[in-house]
Amino acid sequence: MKILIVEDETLIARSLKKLLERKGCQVTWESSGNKAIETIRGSDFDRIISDLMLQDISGFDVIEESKEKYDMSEIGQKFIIITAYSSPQVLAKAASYGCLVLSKPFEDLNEAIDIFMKGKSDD
Amino acid sequence: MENKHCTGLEKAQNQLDRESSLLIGEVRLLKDNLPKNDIFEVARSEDPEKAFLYSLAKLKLEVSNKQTAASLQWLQKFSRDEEANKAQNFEHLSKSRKSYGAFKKRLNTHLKNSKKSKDIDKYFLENQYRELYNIILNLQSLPSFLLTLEGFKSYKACQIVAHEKGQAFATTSFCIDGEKTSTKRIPVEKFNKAFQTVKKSKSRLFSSQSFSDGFSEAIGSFMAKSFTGRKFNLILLLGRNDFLPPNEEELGKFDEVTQNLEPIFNAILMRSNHDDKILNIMDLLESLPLPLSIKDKTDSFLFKNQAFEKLKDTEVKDFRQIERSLTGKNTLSLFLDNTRNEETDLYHFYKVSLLGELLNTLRHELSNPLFGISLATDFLEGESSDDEINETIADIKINSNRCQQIIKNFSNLYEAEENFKDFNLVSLIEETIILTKSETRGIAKSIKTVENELIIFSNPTWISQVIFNLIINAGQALQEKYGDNLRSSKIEIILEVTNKNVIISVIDNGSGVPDSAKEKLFTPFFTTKEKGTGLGLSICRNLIKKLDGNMIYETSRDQGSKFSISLPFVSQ
Repeated sequence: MKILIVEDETLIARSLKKLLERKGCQVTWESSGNKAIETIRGSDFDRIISDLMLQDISGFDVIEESKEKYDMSEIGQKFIIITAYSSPQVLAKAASYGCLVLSKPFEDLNEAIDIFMKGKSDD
Repeated sequence: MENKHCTGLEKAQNQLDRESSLLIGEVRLLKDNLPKNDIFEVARSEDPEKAFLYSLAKLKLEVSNKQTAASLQWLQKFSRDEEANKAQNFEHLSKSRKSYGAFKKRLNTHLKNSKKSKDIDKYFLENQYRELYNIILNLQSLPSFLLTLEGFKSYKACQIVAHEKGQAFATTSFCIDGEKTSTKRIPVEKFNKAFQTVKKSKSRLFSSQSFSDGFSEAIGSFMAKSFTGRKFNLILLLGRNDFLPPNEEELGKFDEVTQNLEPIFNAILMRSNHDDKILNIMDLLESLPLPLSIKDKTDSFLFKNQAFEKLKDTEVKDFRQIERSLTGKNTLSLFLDNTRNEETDLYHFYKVSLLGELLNTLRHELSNPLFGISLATDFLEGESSDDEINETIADIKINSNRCQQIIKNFSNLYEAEENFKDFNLVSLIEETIILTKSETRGIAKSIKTVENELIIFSNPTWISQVIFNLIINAGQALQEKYGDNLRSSKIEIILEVTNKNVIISVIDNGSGVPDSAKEKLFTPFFTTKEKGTGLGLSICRNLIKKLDGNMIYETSRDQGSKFSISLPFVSQ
């Protein structure tokens, strides 16, 4: 499974990458939103886990830019937003794209990893 | 004229009575030459004459009840940019003034459009409209007035429950047999439930059992109708205070009259809201630490605030006077002290709110790296076969999680101001005690409570701020008495529950409140401390008032002080 992590906090990104790799995933990490957009254009991912508040742009901007490549149902399947500020507005916006939101810190790491790998398929 | 004067005073008194349970809250003055976070407290004026004078001054300013701070930027502009802000700044404000004429016009339009209005004059008399608009300043007197209407004369009990959208409480006013109206507040959840019940019902017929406990104050059967306004939702209950249900004819009459009440309700509610705003502004001006006065066109004073009263003529020349024209050719003058700008009372800090900001920043900045550490330990867990290493990794994980939890708890204490919810009062007090740890080092602190969990519905942020203040005060009193030898000093917090109230007492064994300070203890800007702002206790009491509670204290020279907060025991 190919996973892209978009996260500017190095420690979080590295640890998450290693944890997912241990589960057999092929993980790419981008620390900026704009670079992530380039990467998404260049290759295919099964899952894109993106932080919301990146240094350059927002995780939602990354989703918006990906619309040219993926249709709405694919976006809902592929994207998972991780954020420390899951306000009702954020949840509503994520819902409008149909994608999942996970609050940082994760309440249960194993559950989070599970969600990253299975995506929305359990819904 | 004499007569009119009395009415004005009465009106003002009415307003103040009703308003005394409300509070304006903290006001941020965004003045350029002062630190951005300066906050000072606005206290309510207890002098009705000032309220009257103010209404004469016809200062109409739009201040949202919620965002007092933002709306007060005009004051900032006022003091900063002398030339750029001419009278037009205030012009648009006068446009919002409502006159009876405009009201009548709207009412007539409504009546014309309303199909059933042909017989309306049977129930309403022309002079009653005027009376309604001119006399009724607030919702409190509305029920008794409605009972005097032609259409409602045969009824004995009338209750109006109004909820301003976005507020945590609804206000209910009740009148029976022409007796004086009682007004109280109920949680919005209770209001919403009743509102839905009334709205969904087709029969308009209800009894006291139709609602949750204590919602309806009338007994027996009655009719009810809900109104949906732009800013308010409202329920009207009308009955004879007996168990005979109204007949068909009465129901028809009720429909007809209530249908035409809507614009009147709207006008009254808007006006009531509007007057609140004016009072807020007046209070602000009154307690503004800068001298301020309003003169009319004949140069006689309409309004002087406390600071202005204190100004002696000889000192005036030390002040820079700024003047602005208001509507009605009145002039507002503000005096700025050139010599001691830094020392003005505006310079006071409200520590608790700074703490809230600090905690939020900390949360934002620390949350991510802490989560990173915790994820990293997750990754390392079980990687090594060395027990010592695994133990250390586990320690790192536990401690980073603990840091995260502490930050989360603290910033929860200081989240958005208007935050009403169910929470455990006991753990809130425990967390607040931890916050005071560094300021009360060496002083034994304990909580006495029968229950370990006490869920109440209120504003945790405010309650925590008040308890925080009381503990810090107690700590300072103890340090004053015992100096460095704090061994026998203690602060005890006792939590008691009665049927209706929760009582939180903060008790210290310091040397009590000196007699000379007792009278002014809750007065804003009064302080006995070298570095105190004098805002702590007045803010505390106002916050508690805002929560429908009250605050009292007992003190003695040898036994110390006991500050008790009593809050309504509301639980969902």
